[in-house]
Amino acid sequence: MLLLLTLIIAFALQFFLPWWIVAPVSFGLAAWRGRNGWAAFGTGFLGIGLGWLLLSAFIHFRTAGILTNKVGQLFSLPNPTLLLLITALIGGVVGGFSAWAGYCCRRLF
Amino acid sequence: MKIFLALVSVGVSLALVIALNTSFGMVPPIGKFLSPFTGFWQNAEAKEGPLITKVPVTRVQADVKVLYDDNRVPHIFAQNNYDVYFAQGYVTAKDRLWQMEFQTHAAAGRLSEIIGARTLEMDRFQRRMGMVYGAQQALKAMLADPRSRQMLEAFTAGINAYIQQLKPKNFPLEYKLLNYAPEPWTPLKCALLLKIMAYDLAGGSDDLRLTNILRKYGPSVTKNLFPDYPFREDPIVPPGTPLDFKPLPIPPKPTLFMASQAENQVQREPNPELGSNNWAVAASKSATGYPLLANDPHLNLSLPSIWYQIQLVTPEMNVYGVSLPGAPNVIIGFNEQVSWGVTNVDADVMDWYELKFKNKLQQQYWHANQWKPIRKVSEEIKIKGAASVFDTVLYTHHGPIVYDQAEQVFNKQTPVKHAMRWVAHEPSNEILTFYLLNRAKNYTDYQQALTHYTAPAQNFIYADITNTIAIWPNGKFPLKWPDQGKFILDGTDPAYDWQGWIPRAHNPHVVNPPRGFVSSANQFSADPKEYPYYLNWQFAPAQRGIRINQRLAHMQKITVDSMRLLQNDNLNLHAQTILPALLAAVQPEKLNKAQQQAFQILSDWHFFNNATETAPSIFQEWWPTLDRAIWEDDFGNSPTVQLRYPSRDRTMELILKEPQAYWFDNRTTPAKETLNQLATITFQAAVDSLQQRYGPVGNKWQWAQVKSTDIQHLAKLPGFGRNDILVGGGAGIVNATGAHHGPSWRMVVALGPEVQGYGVYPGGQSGNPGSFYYDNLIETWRQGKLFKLKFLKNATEPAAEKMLVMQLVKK
Repeated sequence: MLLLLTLIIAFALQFFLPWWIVAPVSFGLAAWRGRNGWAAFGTGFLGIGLGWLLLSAFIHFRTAGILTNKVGQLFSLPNPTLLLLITALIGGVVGGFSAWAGYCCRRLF
Repeated sequence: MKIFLALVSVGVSLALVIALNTSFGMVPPIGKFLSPFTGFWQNAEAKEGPLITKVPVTRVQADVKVLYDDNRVPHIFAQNNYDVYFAQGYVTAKDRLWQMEFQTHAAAGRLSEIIGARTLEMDRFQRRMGMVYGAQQALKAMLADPRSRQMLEAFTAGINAYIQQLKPKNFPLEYKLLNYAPEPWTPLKCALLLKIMAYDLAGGSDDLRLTNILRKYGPSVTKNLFPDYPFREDPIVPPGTPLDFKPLPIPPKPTLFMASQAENQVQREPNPELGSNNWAVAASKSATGYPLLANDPHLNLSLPSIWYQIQLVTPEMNVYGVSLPGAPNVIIGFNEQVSWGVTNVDADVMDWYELKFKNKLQQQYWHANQWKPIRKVSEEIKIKGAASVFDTVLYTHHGPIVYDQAEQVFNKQTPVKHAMRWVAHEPSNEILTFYLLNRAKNYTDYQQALTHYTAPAQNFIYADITNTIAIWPNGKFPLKWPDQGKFILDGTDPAYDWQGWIPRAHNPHVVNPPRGFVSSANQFSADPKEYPYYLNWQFAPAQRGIRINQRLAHMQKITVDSMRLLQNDNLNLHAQTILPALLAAVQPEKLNKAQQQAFQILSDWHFFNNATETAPSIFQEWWPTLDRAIWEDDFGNSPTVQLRYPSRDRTMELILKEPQAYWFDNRTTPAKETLNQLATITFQAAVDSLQQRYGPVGNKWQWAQVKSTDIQHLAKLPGFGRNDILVGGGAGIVNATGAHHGPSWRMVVALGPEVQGYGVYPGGQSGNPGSFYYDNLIETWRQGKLFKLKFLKNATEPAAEKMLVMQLVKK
């Protein structure tokens, strides 16, 4: 449930707000409903990372990977599709740590 | 423990977000860049991307219709001049904003603002060359004419209308990589863009090196090895063309001044291989009974492309061709009555003056028997991530003192403590020339248009529907005494100043010559024995021009396709001229097996630099090796004195006509070398070095692979260019496709009741690396084919009906 909320709310807000909105969203939702540290991190990681993976994969396939290939070469990646995983990972890490921080902060009260 | 964990977790999260939102050196802010909502992913475009059909803008006077064809060429239909240039600005920015801004930043010496301290020396050089000063001079002239003023204002407003609509997530990719934002466009930037062309095409100078040669070898050797006319030439104005003007008297040549040795010199020289071809054939020689015109400007090949195709239509004008992103108008193109094209004129329009300063403060210089003040201009160079650097540029009445201190110079052809006189610092209004050409209906209009043009001087070729063909090497040329500016000049004596200009009507030209064609390939504008004014002592090597003229002289019933084939002609005339003599000079008994094999390949060669031939690779490796062996001992650079080799033409003449010449001896050895020895040794060396790089003689030696034509991204970003394109040709060949430069736009126009245009350039209309249209034209260009250009007569004809529509509507 928390995972789905994180995914949907963050996904929707990112269309209008700067990318780092994922941090306060994960933080807030985990602070509200996080069950323990690990679970909070996991939901944040998956909630944001999945969103980033979904949208980048959608763009990648819809555009025949023209740009994925070029940016992959720019960063010397052996395979351009790695860029999808790296994108998801970066989003996930931000979401995960923010959610964990949200959970930790709630435990103070 | 809880507090500790809370602090740590919040700290880690904040640090992570901040780090991922910051750029470190050349690394973009990773989070911002990778986010699929705001980062680079947003720049990926599907081939059939949607087009916004109605764009509200505040400044247009009436609605403008833009039709995009299947190569994404915009065809702009507007009701008036203001709207058509507004729309040109808007659609060009939509496709090429980053390129336009980056180029003008480079011209203005502002790259460090976006890249950081590593471009500081380049920025200083641009400012010291007076690039902004030249652009300001040009802008004054442009704003003084109501037509160019309106055009600049409209074009600028169009670009800014696009920039205002941009959200950060839609910034062109390169802004995201370098983490900056577009700034508002200004008319000065249009002027700056034209100054880049002036630098690329008319920013070369050999004065320093030749002065050093003159000092070392004296006038007679210098004259012999660096003659004022090559041994084989075929000038643009055919010999025997009568003059239709009465020449002005030439200023008297002062008694010889010998510059003192100037120690320092330049690295960033304009590429000598930049050139171009154009020609037009008369109705009498064409299959259609109307003239045909062809043009292929040779420039550095890069992505986004240098050119942008566009059609501009108003009730008074309908023109199609290529524009330079960042400047209004069509630069090379055609309308229903006329067609025109350009190649560079290698006139000497940059000279250096040795100065005498009053004292070490360098505040005054001696000229015309008095001390004159030096003007100081302070320049602030902003640097990304560091404090600004302030620089002061000194100006004399000649022009800027490019380097006023003995220091490491950015461009080694720059003599230190010398003033530069350069035509690109003159007030000029080139855009008015194009404004008038775009609307030209006849030869008189064309001639009228050319009078507004200053720099970089171009050979404007012309053909029209009433069967007039013509060519004018056109620009503003200083009225010089013979050889003025071949060497460094005396800055104290007004006799060495530029003392006037060649009247426009006296520029070299020819109209409807009896031979039935006009052409140019950067060679001599006219034979100095027949033309009364001095333009330069050296132009581009004559081989391309000679070949074009040979072919055109023989061709009859010429069609678009025969013009296209001539543009793709791979004959290596240089090799054809010199190779038989060189092969005869090689001592075959001294060759090993691989060398013999290579020797055989060269002997069997028919001198065409086709992509799959092996012989061109051997020849193009051999010639420079031989050239070095002949000249390095006499004309090699030393760390303190910059020299240059005699021209390829003079070297060929020496081999063919003076094989016993003293110059073949290597002075650094006690033995006396002969041409035969040099030819043999260098042939062996060339084959050995090919073997080392490509293994035994075989497919890997093929010319296209050895030459390796690359089209790099403008900022040389890896992955954003196209490498190793399989094409033939080469420097000095009609198909001038080299490693990094070549035909940047190939166009053939068949005039007639229904004008037909054909063209291609190696790139695509979009400047976005994430677009299908970024590089989609390259394959057709590679094959030497042309697209039929969709010249629309109106916005409702059947061809137009199928096109995508974007409308700029009044808000």
